[in-house]
Parts: sequence; structure tokens; C-alpha cells
Amino acid sequence: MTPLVRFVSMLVFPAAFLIAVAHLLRAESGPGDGFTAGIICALALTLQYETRSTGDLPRWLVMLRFERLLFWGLGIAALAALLPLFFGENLLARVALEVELPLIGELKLARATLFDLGIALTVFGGAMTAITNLRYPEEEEE
Amino acid sequence: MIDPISAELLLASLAVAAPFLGALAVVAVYLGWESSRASAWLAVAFTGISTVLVGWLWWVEAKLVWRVDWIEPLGIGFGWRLEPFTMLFAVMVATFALLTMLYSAAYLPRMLAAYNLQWNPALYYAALLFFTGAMLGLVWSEDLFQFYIFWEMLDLASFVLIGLAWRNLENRRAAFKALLITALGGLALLFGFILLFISTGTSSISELLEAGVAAAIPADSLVIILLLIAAASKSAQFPLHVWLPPAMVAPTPVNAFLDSAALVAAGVFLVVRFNPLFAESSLWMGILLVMGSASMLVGGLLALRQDNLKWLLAYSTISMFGFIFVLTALGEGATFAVLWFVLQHAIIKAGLFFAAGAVESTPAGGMAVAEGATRTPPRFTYLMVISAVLALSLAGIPPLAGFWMKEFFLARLMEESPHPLLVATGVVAAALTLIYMLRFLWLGFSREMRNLPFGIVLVVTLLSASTLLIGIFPEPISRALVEPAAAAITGSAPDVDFGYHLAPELLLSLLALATGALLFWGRTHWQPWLAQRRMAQWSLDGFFEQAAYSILHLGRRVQRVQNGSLERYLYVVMMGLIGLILLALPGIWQQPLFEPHENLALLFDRSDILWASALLLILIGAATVLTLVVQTHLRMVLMLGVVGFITAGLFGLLSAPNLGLVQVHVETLITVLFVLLLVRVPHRIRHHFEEQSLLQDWRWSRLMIALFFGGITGLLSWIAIKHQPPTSVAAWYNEETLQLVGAEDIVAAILVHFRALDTLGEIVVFAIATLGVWILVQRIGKAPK
Repeated sequence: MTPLVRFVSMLVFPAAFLIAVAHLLRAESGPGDGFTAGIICALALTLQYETRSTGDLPRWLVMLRFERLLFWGLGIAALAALLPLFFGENLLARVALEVELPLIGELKLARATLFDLGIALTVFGGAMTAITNLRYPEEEEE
Repeated sequence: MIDPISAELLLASLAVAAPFLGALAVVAVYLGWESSRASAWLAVAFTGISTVLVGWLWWVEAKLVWRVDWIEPLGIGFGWRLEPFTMLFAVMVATFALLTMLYSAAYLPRMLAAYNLQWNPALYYAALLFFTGAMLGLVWSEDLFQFYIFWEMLDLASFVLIGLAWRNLENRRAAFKALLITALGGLALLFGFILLFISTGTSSISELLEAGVAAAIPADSLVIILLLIAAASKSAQFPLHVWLPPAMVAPTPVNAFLDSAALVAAGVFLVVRFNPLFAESSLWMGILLVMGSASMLVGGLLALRQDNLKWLLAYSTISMFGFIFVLTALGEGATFAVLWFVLQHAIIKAGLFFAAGAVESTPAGGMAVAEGATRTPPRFTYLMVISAVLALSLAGIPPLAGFWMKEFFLARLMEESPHPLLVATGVVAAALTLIYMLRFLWLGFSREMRNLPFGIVLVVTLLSASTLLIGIFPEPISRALVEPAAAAITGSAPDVDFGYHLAPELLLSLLALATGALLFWGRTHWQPWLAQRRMAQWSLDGFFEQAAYSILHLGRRVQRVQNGSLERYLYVVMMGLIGLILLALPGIWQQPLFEPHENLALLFDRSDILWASALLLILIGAATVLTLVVQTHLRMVLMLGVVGFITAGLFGLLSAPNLGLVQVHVETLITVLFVLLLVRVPHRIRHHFEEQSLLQDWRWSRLMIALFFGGITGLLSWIAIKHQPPTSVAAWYNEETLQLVGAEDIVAAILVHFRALDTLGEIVVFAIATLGVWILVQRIGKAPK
């Protein structure tokens, strides 16, 4: 990898996560949702894997078990599905809380956002499971 | 609908919830701190909470019928029903669960050390707690479908418990056998309940029982058969008993709990619960009688042939529940006898299993013997005495509690038996009980022993002492627990008489005991003969093995279709598609396929995007052709990616930004995955395409497949566009979305609001698919280089 590619990938990495967060939060007001957010994160991370050697990556990233993220994602989505029941609504009904936060302003915490987060985590975990397992089988034996 | 929450409701809910919470706590703690001891004490503590709550509810004679709506449109609810009858079972379950946990705390470390077993203690305790919670939830269920759910939870927990040592083939087979048969019973139960629900219109157990008293329920024979299949599968009744003996590979405390107060008792609970509804039906009675007496005899006879203590006890359980099923069939008058039998059997059988576990935790012969090896350790002698009390109690020797058990059985049988043959069967089965119980003592205690942990001896002592005390003073426990329970079922207090009278049943009982003792004394004469008989087929094991084997064989045949040739798979898919299209052909024919489409006309009006889209289409065509022409896999993949990206641009242009965005992401991901996968393409094939393109390597078969799929996809898309539904949902979404769910993006609103349940299902499918990839790569991907 040329230093330039590595540099660009480093620049892209945090930006990609910001874009993903934007996709998540703006899911209901425009294109982009949990699904795309998950894929963006997966692609950004894959870029890191491909441009840096394993030793360069933070240890927790190398140790991360992506197949477990699947369960977290599904769990959060299921929790979001059940959440409206606690407000006396039906399964998966629309529930939203408007919270005033200092500096940031008004934030809408909706069941849908949590649900999208679950989707994003599942997609991210699934994509990364596929990618890390399918790439370079030789490297796994290290 | 929700009543004000009473203390009783709160405590009952807590009693059911505590074991489930305990299961979570055990797992959570174990993840942080891998201590078998901590798991054990957590399990004891949470079961203890449950036991104390159940005990308190029983003490205050809590009566509670509580129900909330669950699936409102169908009128299906969720709730608790506390009354003396369900209380009896709840007290039994909670008490035995606590004893099991206490025993396990002493037994597990010893067993794990003695046999170097490799199962996870946290999983063991968690599954046992889960099981306890499910059993409590089951007996207190107010709704048929709630009952069913707890019933299936029992299956799952017992599957885990039996298959704990899953590295052994034997354990896996036993677990699957138990799961298959009990799940079959579960399905039967579900269908039976659905039919019952449809014919009565209510799923509330309380309402059903009230209606049943008024004899308003039509005795549907299918319902009866289905419910009895369910009960027989859980209570291990002939011919669905085959799962129980193999299940003895489970840890002994599990068997003690499952075979006394829990799993097998669930079947009896079902039968006794619904007995009033079907009491008039001769079919219900007939099946119960035939099944019960067959189990009584087959279980007793097969128990005689066992050399393994636990297998002997397993067949004994089958036989004993045969007694109970026969009693149940004798009408409402026998309810007290049934419940008494269940309770006493639970005490005795749990004690015997606990004793057997103690004996087996000291492997016979060859093992290092503790200090004082030459003489028998005192605790072992003591264990022998208390085990003898338990064994003789089951055989029905006075003055032990088992005597009353058998006495009531014979009394009811004399009074209400439809045929003298049944009485004879009962006597024979009672005689068999004595023989195999003596055999149990003989087998168990004619071996060298190590000393035993205090906890094990304590638990067996408790059970042994209670069977002795209940035998001498039966009235208190009968009045406190069993009589109210029987009264709750029949509606009137049962007529109970604990006294030694010179009645016919006493004579029959003595006859059975004398026969049994004589036969055991002369066992050298008949035992070799019995051992030689080919009775294996009586256990029906071979039949189930054969059925399972045939299914596996069929699976292997089907597997041959998957030979790894992609072309072959595509042909198979093609055949299926051709079949579907032939079916749809008449419909396709009627479509006005060749008229220009109005939306296309719309596009032609928009000259600004018309030219841009035409250009993109040409580019797509060009990229497709390039894919065929370029050499090496990498270039082909990249060209395919180009096709995808241009398509995304086309979506964006034709005012579908959402679709375009998703297409960009998916295309990138697929291209990345594809490139990464190229590493795994075998060298031979990779080299093959380094010198030539796909076009140079073309074959008729590939061309045919490509043209077919391309043509079909095009045709179907065209038909889909042409087929305009009379009313479109698009307008509705346009108007309502913002107002209903507060979202501006209709696609997102559909995904997370209108069709959210579908989305949830889809991500589950996605997760399962990627897990499949993971497992495949983990297991297969590493092998070839």
C-alpha cells in the first residue's frame, strides 16, 4: 500500500462513521437508514484492514468477534420492537421522546431510531463476519 | 381489564420469575467468574426464593384467578390460576427443585472429578432453573396457549439437560430422541388446544372448566387423541416411552427432578386437569386404560432386565405412571388416589435417584478407595438403610407411604374396574414392583464404596424420613395438600380412610407382595430365562431408530444433488422456473404485452432525463460486454461492479434516491467481497482465465443458461410493470406517512413502521445466513490450500 492510500483511508475512517451516524439519525427524513449505516461502517473498517497490517490496528479491533455483533444487533432490534409495549402501545408501534439537551438542542429519541441501530449493528456484524472470514485464509493461522 | 395488583399476584409472579432470573444470573456471573460453586449457590438461592414464595402462598391458602389480554383479537390471554390443585403441583415442583439444587451442589464437584466430565456447570444450573420456572408457569397457567408455551419450554430445557455432555454421541442421540418425541407431543398439544379453542370459543382454562362441569363441551375424539398423545409423550407412556431410558445419560439430579415432580408429572397434570371435561368419554377412558396398563406391565418387565441402576429406575417410572394413568381413567372418584400416588411417587423416586447417584458417583472396582478401604464406610451403610426404606416404600410395604399408594390404587380398581383382567394386571404390576425394587437394592449395594459427601446423604435422608413419617402419619399431609387439591377438581371433599382393614384390597396387596418376594427369592430360576428372551423390540427402540435412520438416509440421497457444479445447480433452478412459468403461462398470455406503456410515454415527455438515461443504459450495455471481453477474474469483477454503479445512477436519475443509495452500498460491498473471495478461487481456474476472456471460453450450455435467466428476468419485469393494480397504495403512502408516523421518507417509514415486523424477520434471516457463511468457512474453508 502506498502511504497516500494509507493516509486517505485514515482520513476516511472517522468520516465514514460520522456519515453512518448521520444516516441513522436522519433515517426518517431522507435517503439512508440503518442498513446503509451498517454497510458504510463495514466498508470503512474493511479499508482499514486492507491498508494497514494487523499489527498496526488497535488490539480491540483485531480481537473483535463480529459474529457476536449479530446477536447484539438482533437483540437491540427485538428490544426496540418490544419497547412500545411498555408504553401501553402495540408491538412496533410508534413511540418517540423529545429531549431537550444543552448545546445540542432538541433531540428526538424514537423507537424507530433504536430499531435502525439494531438493523445497523446486525448488518455491520454480518458484513464484517463475511468479510473477515472470506479474506486471505492464509492469515488466519498466525 | 387489569385488576389492582394484589400481594398474592405479585408473589405468584415473582415465584415464577425467580428461577428465570436465576438462570440469567447464573450465566451472567459465570461469564465473569468461572466458578462452579458460585453457580451452585446462586441456583440454590433463586430456587429458595421461589420455594419460600410458593410455600407462603400455599400457607395462606391463596386463591387467585388473574388474567390479562395478550393476543386481544383472538381473546387469548395470560394469567395465573392459583387453587389447591395447582398449588399441590407448585409446592411439589418448588420443593423438589430446591432439593435438586442442594443435592447438585454436593454431587456435581464429585461427579465432575470422578469421571472427568466436560460439561459446563453454569449451563447445567441455568437449564435446571429455566426448567423449574417453566414448570411453575405451566401448573399456574390460566390460558391454554400460555400452558402450551411453558410446555415447550420444558422440552427445550430437558433437551439441554440431557445433552449436556454433547461431545458424546450417546448423549446427543438421547437428547435428540427426547426432543423429537416430546416435541411431537407438543405439536399434538398445540393442535388439540386449537381444536378445543375453536369448538368452545375460549382459551381460558377457568372458563373451560366451568363449561366442562356443565358438560357443554362436545367430546371431540380428535381433541382427546391429541391431548393424550401429548400427555403420553411427556409422561413416557407406552408406546412413546422410548426417550426416557436413554435420557438416563443426563446427570443423576436431573433425572431425579425430571422423573419425579417435573417433566413426567406435567403429562399427568394435563390429564388430571382436563379429566372433568372428558370424564364421560369412553374413548378418553379407554385410551388411558390401555396405555396405562401396557406401560405398567412393559415398564415393570423391562425394569427386571436392567443391570444399570438408573435404567432400572427409568423403567420403573414408566411403570408407575402407568399406574397413575389407569387410576385417572377410573373416573373422578379416583382423583384423590391419583394425586396421592403422584406426590408419594415423587418423594420416593427422587430419593431413589438421589441414592443411585450417590452410588454411581463412586465407580465400582478399580478406583482408588478412601482411607479405611477394607471396611464399609459408615455413611454408606446408612445410605443403604435409607435407600431400603425408599425402595420398600415404592414396593408398597406397610407402614411406609407407598403402602397407601398401592392400597388406594387397588381399592379404586376393585370398585370401578370395568374388567377383572385389569385387577389382575394391577396385582401383577405391583408384584413386579417389589421384585425390581429388591433387585435395585441388590445391584446398588453389593459393591465397594467410598465415603459419601454429607449433602448427598442429607437429601436422601430427608426424602426417606418423609416417606416413613407419611406412612405412619398420613393424615396431616393428606389434609393439608392432597385432599383440598382433589376437592378442587371434583368439587366435593374426597372420602379418605387411612386405616388397616381386612378388605379385599389389603389381601390383594399382600398377595402381590408375597408373589414378588417368592419370585425374587427364586430369581436364579427365571432370571437367565428372562435375560435370553428377545424383548428388545418391546421397548420399541429399534422402531424409532429405524425411522430416524430412514430420514437420514433420505437426506444423504438428496445431498447427492449438490455435487459442487454451479452449472448443475443453475439447471435445477431453471427447471423449477420453467415449471412455474408453464403454470403461469395462461395468465401471461392474456397480458397486453406488446402495447407501449404509459409510464414510458411519460419518460419520453421528460426530454431532460431521457437522454441521460439512454446514455446510462448504453454504458451499462458497454460495461456488460466488457465483462465478457476482459481477462483475469479481477477485471471481470470490477466490470460487474461498474454495471452495478451505473444502475445505481440510473435509479437516482429516475427519482428513486433511496434505491440508488442502497444500490451503491450493496454494490460496493459485493464488489469488495467478490475481490476478497478471488483468493479462494483455485489456481487452476485462475490461471485459465489469465490468458483468455469469458467470450473466448464460451460454451453452448452457459449461453443457454444466461439467455434463459436474462430473458426470464426481463419478461417478468416487463409483466410487473404492465400489470397495473386497480388501486395503488402509493397515493395513500404519500398522503398519510408524515401524519401517521412523523417520517418524511416514505421508504424508511415502510421499513421501520408499516412493515417493521417484516424488517425484523429479514434481519433475522440475514443474521442466520451470515452465521451460515461463518460456520461454513470455519469448518470447510480452511481445509484446501
